[in-house]
Amino acid sequence: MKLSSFTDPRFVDLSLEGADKVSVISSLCRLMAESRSVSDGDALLRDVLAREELVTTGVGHGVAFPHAKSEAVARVTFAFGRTAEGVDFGALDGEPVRLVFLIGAPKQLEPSRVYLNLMARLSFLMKNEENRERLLNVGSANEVMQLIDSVA
Amino acid sequence: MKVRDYMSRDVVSVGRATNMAEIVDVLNKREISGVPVVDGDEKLLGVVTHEELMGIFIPHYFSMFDDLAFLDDLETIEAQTMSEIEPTLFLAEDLMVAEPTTVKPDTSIMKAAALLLNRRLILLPVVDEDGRVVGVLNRGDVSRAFTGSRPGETT
Repeated sequence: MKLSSFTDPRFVDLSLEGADKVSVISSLCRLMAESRSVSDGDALLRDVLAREELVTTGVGHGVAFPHAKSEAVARVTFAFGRTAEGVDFGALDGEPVRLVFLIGAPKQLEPSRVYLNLMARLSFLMKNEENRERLLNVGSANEVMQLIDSVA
Repeated sequence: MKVRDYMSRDVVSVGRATNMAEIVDVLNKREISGVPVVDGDEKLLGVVTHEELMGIFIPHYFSMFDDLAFLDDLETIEAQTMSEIEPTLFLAEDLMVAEPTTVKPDTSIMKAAALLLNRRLILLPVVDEDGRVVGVLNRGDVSRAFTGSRPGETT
């Protein structure tokens, strides 16, 4: 199953605005709230920030995977945003983040295998430096879709 | 026969911020299949088992197929192992089955056995009236109950 089936070109923002972690995540939550998958962007934002408080999802190399299970989410969905300037996510390597994948899943999703494996596959994709470079340079949402579908 | 007579009281638990590598370490060192997730007051939040940990790595679409014989080249997927993932991406908070099935110390072993079987559970957290974890009952404990041996007894 293609990773792109969990997102939509409309959920891609290659000029993500926001000077800090909260505003960047908030922008992506609002983007997803324009779909049927997410009923309440503010509720999703609260749940994602609560997860961020436990441990940052800024995993290094300028990439972050903010995520949460939330009552506001109807199906496993993700959005992708790229910032022009790096944002402080309190990342493990201290580096600013430019590539942000926001992943939401229904609160009562059991088993949560779809959600967990989606996050792992996105993480594998971004482990590769070449893929990170490509995402930093793509010019359209469709190119993002093609890249994310290249992962096994 | 009551759960309290056969449950393990030496319970190891993790917090919601415990990461996947730490959880695996706990499971392996204690030779257990799952672990309760508790808050600061030891109240039960959820359970993480090997099943959730495996779910990270096994593509979810595999569950659609009964017969995996046609999948003969899995090396690419197998290369995606835990060493390739930042452990803090997956915390107990992310992995746990929340609000799991529980039993009380005075629940009958027969009922606990039925829950384990009917709901395909690996373990049952045993909680007190306040929701604090006071023990864990697994399938082995139930087998011991029905075969007449107490924990720690050898035949």
